[in-house]
Amino acid sequence: MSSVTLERLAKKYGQVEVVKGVSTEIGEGELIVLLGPSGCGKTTILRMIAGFIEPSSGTVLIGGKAVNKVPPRARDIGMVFQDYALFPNMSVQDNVAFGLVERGVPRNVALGRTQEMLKLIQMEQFGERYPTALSGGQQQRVALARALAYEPRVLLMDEPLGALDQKLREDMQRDFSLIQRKVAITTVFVTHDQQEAMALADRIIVMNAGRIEQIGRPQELYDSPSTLFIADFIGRSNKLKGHVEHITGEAAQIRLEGGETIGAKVVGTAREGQNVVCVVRPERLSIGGVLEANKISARLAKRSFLGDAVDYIFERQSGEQIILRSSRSAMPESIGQDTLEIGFEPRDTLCFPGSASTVQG
Amino acid sequence: MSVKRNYDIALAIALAISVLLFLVPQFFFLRESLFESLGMGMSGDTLTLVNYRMILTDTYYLEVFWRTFVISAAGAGAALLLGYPTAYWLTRMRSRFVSMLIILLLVSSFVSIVVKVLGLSMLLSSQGPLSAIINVLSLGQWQPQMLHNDFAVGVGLVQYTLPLVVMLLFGVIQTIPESFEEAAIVHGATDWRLFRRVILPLSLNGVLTAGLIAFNMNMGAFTSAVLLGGGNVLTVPVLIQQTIILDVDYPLAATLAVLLTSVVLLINLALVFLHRFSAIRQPRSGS
Repeated sequence: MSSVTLERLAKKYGQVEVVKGVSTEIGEGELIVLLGPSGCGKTTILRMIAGFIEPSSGTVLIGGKAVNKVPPRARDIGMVFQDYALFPNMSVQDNVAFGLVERGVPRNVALGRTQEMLKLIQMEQFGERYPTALSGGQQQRVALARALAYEPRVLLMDEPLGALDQKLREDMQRDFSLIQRKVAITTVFVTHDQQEAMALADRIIVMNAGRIEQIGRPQELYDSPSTLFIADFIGRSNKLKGHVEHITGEAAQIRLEGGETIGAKVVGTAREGQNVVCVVRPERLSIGGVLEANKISARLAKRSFLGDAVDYIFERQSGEQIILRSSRSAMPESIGQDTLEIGFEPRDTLCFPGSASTVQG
Repeated sequence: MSVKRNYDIALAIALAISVLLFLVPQFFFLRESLFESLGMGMSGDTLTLVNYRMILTDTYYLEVFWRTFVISAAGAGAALLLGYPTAYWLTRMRSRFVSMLIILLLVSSFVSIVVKVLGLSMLLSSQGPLSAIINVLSLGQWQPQMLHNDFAVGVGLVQYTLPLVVMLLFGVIQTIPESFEEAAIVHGATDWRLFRRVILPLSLNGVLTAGLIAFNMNMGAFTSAVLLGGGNVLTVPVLIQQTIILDVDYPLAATLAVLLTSVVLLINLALVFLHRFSAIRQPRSGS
């Protein structure tokens, strides 16, 4: 178990800079998720930690030592690949024992350790099987066992759950985070799925266009996004365009394009008259309340039932879409098609300078 | 469904023509080989095994068979050794020139074997550049004789089969995902161990197929043996031609042809059987 440190890590392919000087520190035993839209550089960073890609500049340190010149086989890393990459010519047992055998571990020791690993992933009875005879979820677990068998210092996972269906994916997320806690290994997990990142991570590193956008615990990113990109990328957000009418410290009065004036908390700096985007989480909205300070009007377009919650989709006259999420019991079955008043609090309304058109992903 | 049926008929026609062109002559060879030669291209009219007895008890003929086998096997082995790394690098090259290189390879296999062999005989001759280089490097001590011997024929065979071997291996190695290699390396394998434990086992079927095809082509190769052997290297195909043209002994030539086909067939079956057998003892699923 070791820490992983990235120092001004950059990768250029010709003129294209894929990773633009990323620095961060991943603590011992920590589970870090690299999250971002495709092409943001997250996989490139992972592959630079593994040693498959040489950085154009900057340093990768594992356990405090620079490993730029160390080949992948000597970095003492375990890795789970997107396609699992189990060797089809070897049994499950031989796959799990691969790293041990290659390190010259005596046969009986390797076999004992392999059995331990199969037990850890609850597949003791599958040792003799071949990978092609396993389901996707089983192959995934074997790939994890192979990566952990020789107790590497760092575990790298490259979108390992991408090929699984939603339900199995959630099961695997739970299993994996339990195993990760049990073996307490420093882990870097790459995904583009923000729900997966939230469910797994100790801390999330959100990447955008080759740079770190924000680092934080899942709740921090959700509740206090530092940029509009994060607010948009993590969880669902309603975006309302407007301009600053009045500002004192963090608190601002925003005149929306729809005509209403609402109170909001400014993130970053804004001046009066500047165009801004206000962001409110769907579960912070309510209908028919009298207490909320902010009110906007919109017409109900659709109601979608999600089991434990209901989403109401509204349309504003300006064409903006508003989603309101409500627990199942809190809302009446039918609330009519008319234009309604939607209420929310200024403290739940974050306002970012710039216009919505700059947001992507 | 009707499209599928038409397709089947087309295949059946192709199959029928192949059978006609291959099996029917074989049948005539087999029949011819069972009569005694009366000289002057005439054959006797009683069935006999005298031709077989003569070939199988005469060390002269056995030596020709053995030489053909050794040159063919060595040629196939050399083609695999040269072709495998080439095919591997082609599959792993991240360049848009790869498809162009493959086309070049294909085109090179279209060039008439006579043209290729003549080029080689210039290269290998004692006045040729290769000979001169070796002479200089050995400080004038050594003037190797590289033409008109087994070595020259072997080189010709390798040149003859190499493009096909590379293309066959390229197709097989291409199916091995690069993530397998990364998984092996990141989990501690050296390059050699990666090859030994992952890449070679996963491409073994292709190696066997390419090797057998090269070997079969070599066993029947005539041009290289005649032009590069320069009359010094007697192989079965050359012997058959001589028996027909010089000795006008059709039964003996037919017997040689039958034996050549049988030997090649047996070796193929034996290798395939061996491969299957070892695959059963150590199951290899998926491939």
